[in-house]
Amino acid sequence: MSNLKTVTIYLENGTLLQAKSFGADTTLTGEIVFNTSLTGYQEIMSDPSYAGQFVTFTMPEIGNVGVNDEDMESQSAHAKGMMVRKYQDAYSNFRAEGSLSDFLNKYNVMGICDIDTRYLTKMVRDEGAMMMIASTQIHDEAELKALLEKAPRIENINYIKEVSTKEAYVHPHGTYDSFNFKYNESPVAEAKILALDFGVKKNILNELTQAGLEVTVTPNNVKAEDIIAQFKEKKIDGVFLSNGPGDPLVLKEEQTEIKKLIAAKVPMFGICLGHQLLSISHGYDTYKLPFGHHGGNHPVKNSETGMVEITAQNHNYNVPDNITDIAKVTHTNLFDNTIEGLRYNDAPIFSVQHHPEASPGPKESQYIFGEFLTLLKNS
Amino acid sequence: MPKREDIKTILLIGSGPIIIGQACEFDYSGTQAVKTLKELGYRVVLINSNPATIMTDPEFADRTYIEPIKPEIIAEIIKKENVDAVLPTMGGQTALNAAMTMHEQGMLEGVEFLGANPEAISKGEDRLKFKEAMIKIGMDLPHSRYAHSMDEALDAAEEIGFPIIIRASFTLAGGGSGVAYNIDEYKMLAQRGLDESPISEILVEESLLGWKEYEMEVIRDKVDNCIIVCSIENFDPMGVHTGDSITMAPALTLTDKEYQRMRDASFDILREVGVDTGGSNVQFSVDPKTGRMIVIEMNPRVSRSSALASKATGYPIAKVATLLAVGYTLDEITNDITGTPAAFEPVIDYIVTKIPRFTFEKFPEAENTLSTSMKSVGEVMAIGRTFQESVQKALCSLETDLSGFDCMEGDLDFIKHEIRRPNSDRILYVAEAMRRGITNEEIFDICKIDPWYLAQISEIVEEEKTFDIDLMNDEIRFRRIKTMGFSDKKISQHINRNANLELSENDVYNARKRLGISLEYNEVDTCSAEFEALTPYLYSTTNITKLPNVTKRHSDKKKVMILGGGPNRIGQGIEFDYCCVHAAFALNDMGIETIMYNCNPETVSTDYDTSDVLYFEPIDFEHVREVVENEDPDGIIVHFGGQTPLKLANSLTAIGAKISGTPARVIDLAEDREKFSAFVEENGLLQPENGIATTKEQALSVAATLGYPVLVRPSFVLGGRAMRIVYSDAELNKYMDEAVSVSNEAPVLVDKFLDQAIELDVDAICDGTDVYIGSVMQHIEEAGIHSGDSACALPPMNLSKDIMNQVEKQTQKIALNLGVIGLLNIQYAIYKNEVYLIEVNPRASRTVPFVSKATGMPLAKVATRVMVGDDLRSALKFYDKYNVVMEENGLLKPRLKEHVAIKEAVFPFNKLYGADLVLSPEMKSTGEVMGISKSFGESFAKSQLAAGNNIPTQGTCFLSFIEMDKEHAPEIAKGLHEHGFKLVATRGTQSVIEAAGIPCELVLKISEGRPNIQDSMTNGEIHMAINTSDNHTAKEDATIIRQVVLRRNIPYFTTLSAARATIEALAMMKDNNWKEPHTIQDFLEV
Repeated sequence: MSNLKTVTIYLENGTLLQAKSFGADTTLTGEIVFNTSLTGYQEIMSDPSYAGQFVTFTMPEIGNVGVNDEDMESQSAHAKGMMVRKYQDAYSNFRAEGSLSDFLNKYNVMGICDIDTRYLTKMVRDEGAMMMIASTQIHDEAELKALLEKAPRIENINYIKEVSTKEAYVHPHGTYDSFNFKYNESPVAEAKILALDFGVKKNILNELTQAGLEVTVTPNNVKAEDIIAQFKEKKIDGVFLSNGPGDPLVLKEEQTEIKKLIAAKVPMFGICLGHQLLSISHGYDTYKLPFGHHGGNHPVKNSETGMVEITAQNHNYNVPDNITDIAKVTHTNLFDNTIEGLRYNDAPIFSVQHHPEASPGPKESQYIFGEFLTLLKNS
Repeated sequence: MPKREDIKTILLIGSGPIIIGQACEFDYSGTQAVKTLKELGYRVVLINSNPATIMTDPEFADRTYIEPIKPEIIAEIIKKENVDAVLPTMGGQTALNAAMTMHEQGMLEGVEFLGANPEAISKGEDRLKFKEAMIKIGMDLPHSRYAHSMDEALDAAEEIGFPIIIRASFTLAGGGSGVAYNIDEYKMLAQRGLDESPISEILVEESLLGWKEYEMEVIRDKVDNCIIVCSIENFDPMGVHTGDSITMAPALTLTDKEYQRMRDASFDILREVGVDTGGSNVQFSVDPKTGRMIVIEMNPRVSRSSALASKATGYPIAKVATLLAVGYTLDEITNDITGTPAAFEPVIDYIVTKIPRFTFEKFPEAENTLSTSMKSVGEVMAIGRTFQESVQKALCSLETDLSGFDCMEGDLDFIKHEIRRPNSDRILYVAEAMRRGITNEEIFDICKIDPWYLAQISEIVEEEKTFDIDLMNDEIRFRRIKTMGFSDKKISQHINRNANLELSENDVYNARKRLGISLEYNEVDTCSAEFEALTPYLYSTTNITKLPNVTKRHSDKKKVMILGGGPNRIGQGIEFDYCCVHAAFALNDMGIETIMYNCNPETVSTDYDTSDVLYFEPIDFEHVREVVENEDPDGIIVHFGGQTPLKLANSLTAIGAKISGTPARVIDLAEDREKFSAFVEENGLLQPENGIATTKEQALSVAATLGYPVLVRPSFVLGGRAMRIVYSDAELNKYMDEAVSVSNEAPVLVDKFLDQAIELDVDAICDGTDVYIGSVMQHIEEAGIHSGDSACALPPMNLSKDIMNQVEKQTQKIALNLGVIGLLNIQYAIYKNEVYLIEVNPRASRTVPFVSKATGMPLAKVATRVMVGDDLRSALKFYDKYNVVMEENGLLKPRLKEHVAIKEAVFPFNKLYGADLVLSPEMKSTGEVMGISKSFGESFAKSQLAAGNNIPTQGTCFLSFIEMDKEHAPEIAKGLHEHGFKLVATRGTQSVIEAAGIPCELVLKISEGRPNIQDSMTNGEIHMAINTSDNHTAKEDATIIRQVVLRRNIPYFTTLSAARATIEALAMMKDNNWKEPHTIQDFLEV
């Protein structure tokens, strides 16, 4: 692939690198993060939580299994770009329907290859996540630097509006059956919930549905009063707060609404951004991790069972340690002892920071969806 | 939970000799296990018959039994040592089978199984139980049926349809397995499988040929935490034993959904089989068209693949499995490399390639098509940032003279044939087919190798076509090409080929350096750089871009680099790795920083905690040189890894690298026939008359001068490659035509062969002033059989004091006058009471571990101290734990204790179908065992038992002696007769024995009619065979007899001296206590 266009990258720490482009022909700014998953690049690139970010894949061979419709985690690709050591347009997998390069071009996402991803990973590890600009059009350092300085920082952008659904809908199916290669039909629902879409991954909805819930996905700006009314009329049994991109502290409107739901004792379950918003809405602000957790191999200890779960992770922000004032820590990350799961003391609310829906990643935390149903039944 | 306190003494069972399917990976896992258990404070008892292992070093376990791994012996050890628990999952199939046999026979009452319980082992190993378990948890399996007779087998074949896989139950490394495409082939394979299975059972199975094959390395703890350490994908589709397949880590053609499906299935399988704690390996197959996933098998123990997975990721599976076995859970264990918990799944940011190493050149008669029965003797692993870099580095690592995808000869039909037929060079033929314009689609149709791999290789082939002289001045292009893993040598070859030039590897190197392109070193860190790596375990890569601020590893300590031996192969195996590991230990004792350099994932040397820094790299000049430039070591030890690193001594010296110990000049002097002959003459030593030939005519004329028989061989070889004894012009003609390609650069050496001479092996250490005679060993087989294949005795059985003195004095003289600093090995022949010098090797020899164990003096450690500047006397003193060293006649030597140690070789004939059981000057054994006791006879008996050549104490012995041995026939016959054996012999031998008044029945030769000796053997009427006839030719009778002997596993001796040793052994075996085990510590502490 020696005929690829040159792409120039400039990072806010002053590093200038040149590489090749296998994706969109454009100029974009965003935050650089790294992900250590060995599989699942398509799921990662279609995960709305990565909106505004350039994802550095530590897995050096990317593109090898192509892309297919079934492995989409949302309707499109939301990251700004992906950076990989090696991209090969040839792919091989019995489910593949097209190449990763075509996929990126379709969604105007940059594909950057022939770059030392280990170098970038160490840089992010040592200096923290930072802003960067990449361009196939501009190669002048000063010009790139100026553009990067002008661009808004990720902390100041609300990506939720872009990635949330515009219309409410009932999620149509359960989880993927990887022996018969199709999605399971929805089982008979034992409870009904609203899922607030801040950029929800499709597999969360699959898992909730598979657990026996009827899941109505609603836009991010749905009003608490409406939800509380539905809850009181027993039209719904609870609320799910989804994952999503960006800094939770900037989501003031969402926090206001969630506070009302807490006050109304609506049973709730949150994952990732949802988990963070619950903490903030309880008055405990999140903090930014040095370089976040992004991968599929983090050990999380469940203090209720004593078991270690290998988990999928994708977050740059974390709930503060003093939240133990009002909640019990149910899950802890064994890599850095950060909080991964909470059960609130005097509310029917629990949440996890990691991704029990996996996709990509290991599935041993799947049981958490069942716990939500139990919570709803017991509330 | 903390470690278990209710057990005190743990027995670890090793894997015995190196054989095909069980190599030094089990020394690696066992050594980790012993170290770990000791650190936890357990009393560790070890049994392993293989003296060339690190784990059997007397300082590792508390009690070390170098004894045959047999149930009755293990039972005795358990009784003697008061063993509470046994850990059978670290010693491969040998250990598992021994433990299971004992369990089934009720010999393990009151002894707990650690790691895996007997029920789980049996569920994992017994194919029928495994199948039932898999059906229970809803796993998909190939359609299959069991057969216990040919009739049942034929029924099964009808039901399943061709092609059919046949697998024999309870055999090692796929023994007795094969693929049948037609009924005739099927009948043959089914019979062989039924014969080889100890319970006469075969599994007849649907063929999954062309399907993709994967392995998952799984760890589970007692509270059911499970992790995958590594996924492995086979480059070769189903149909080739995974040990013989090229494999990649991580799996590269699975989406996350399919990967997680396999991961979940692996855990379900471990749970259902009931592996409570420890490491297991689960194999899957996936239909590339439909995605249907099938479970192939699982191993409830650490394996070759787990060693590979450990080296590929940096995650020490055996160590963690040991900790789990004694009560810890995963979250209580720390990952040494990062300091984070071991309860996680390693992720890697590089691609690992394993390529097996074969030695078909030593067994020209053996079938070399790869199948479901393992045939490779070793493997290499290479790490690169991309598949392309990784695979090209792996090819360079093989030490088969490849420098990447070398061009292959042959017409297109032949090349297509070699792509269709799984064989050791298939990957090279795939590239060659691309070079000749065959499309990837057609190649896929022929061989079913995944299209993604084919695309990668075709990119390499396309790239090599562009190489031209301009490359030498184009940094961007050069760098990109280098990132694809092209070696400097390969680049020079392709430029030369494309542009008709004559550039050397060095020209390319110079251009590359001028362009500022050096190899850089990345850490193997288990985590893709998410955390900082605390242990420097490194591999090279060429960076895709020139990076700012690349820092070199820095150390203020004195540092010495040890070059390892590369892949195991016949002639260069675990013994050399043992020496390298000892060098690292010795340097560590001196406070010197150690840098280990090797590419063999099975070894202890490549364990990250053996040395301070580990480079996992091909052992070729380009890669070694880069590391030398990167590290600038104060010394390099090239003498311990066998011939591979030794060959680099000159070129390394030429670039200014500092060789520790014996300098390159001396190595060259010992290896160069002419220079060495001059040295021999100057020193007044005796050598068999010899000559050198660069043409066939010259060889014939040299032979005429010397007189037949003569010994012929190419210069510069290890393990006696292509070495023969020839008895006539006709044989010499044939040899020169077929066996070697001679030239001025590669002459053939012709020696007068000293018939019936006694051969001696001497290992010694010299510091320039003093010489320590490590030992003098006497070969049990006469000269003419490669020393590696000959049994040998320490001390010698029947040497006169005078000869011993001469041998010792000559050794001293040679060591001092040659200029050896460190180890040297000399082979002598005693012919007509005179001492002849056969060979001098100024390096560690294959016998160093055996001698170290037998005498109690760690020769490689002492030599290491000497090589970095210590004097011999103080080095000996430092390691003289057993008060061994004494001085006599101005010589240092070991005080021999009251025991006799016998080393016996172990052969792969039963694994390589078609290979002939003939010993010759060309080495054929894969491993060795040691028998040790207070008498020669008992030690010999033990060595035979350990080697699987079970001497019977009664029954019928078949005798056949070659003409010149016939005078000794009565002596042998008498001995056997006295021990109660019934004798049968062929006509000539029988009449000599009868004439001496010893009863002996006549049996017909095969050519004489029926019933003949073949019938008797096949019917199980012969229990032992002594056959000294016709071992240098392949006459039909003898060949058929050897085939039957192999198939029926009849104890077989081919020399007079082995027959005599057997009779001595029989005398000792009368006493039922002869198997009583004793520890090496007890022998040495006398």
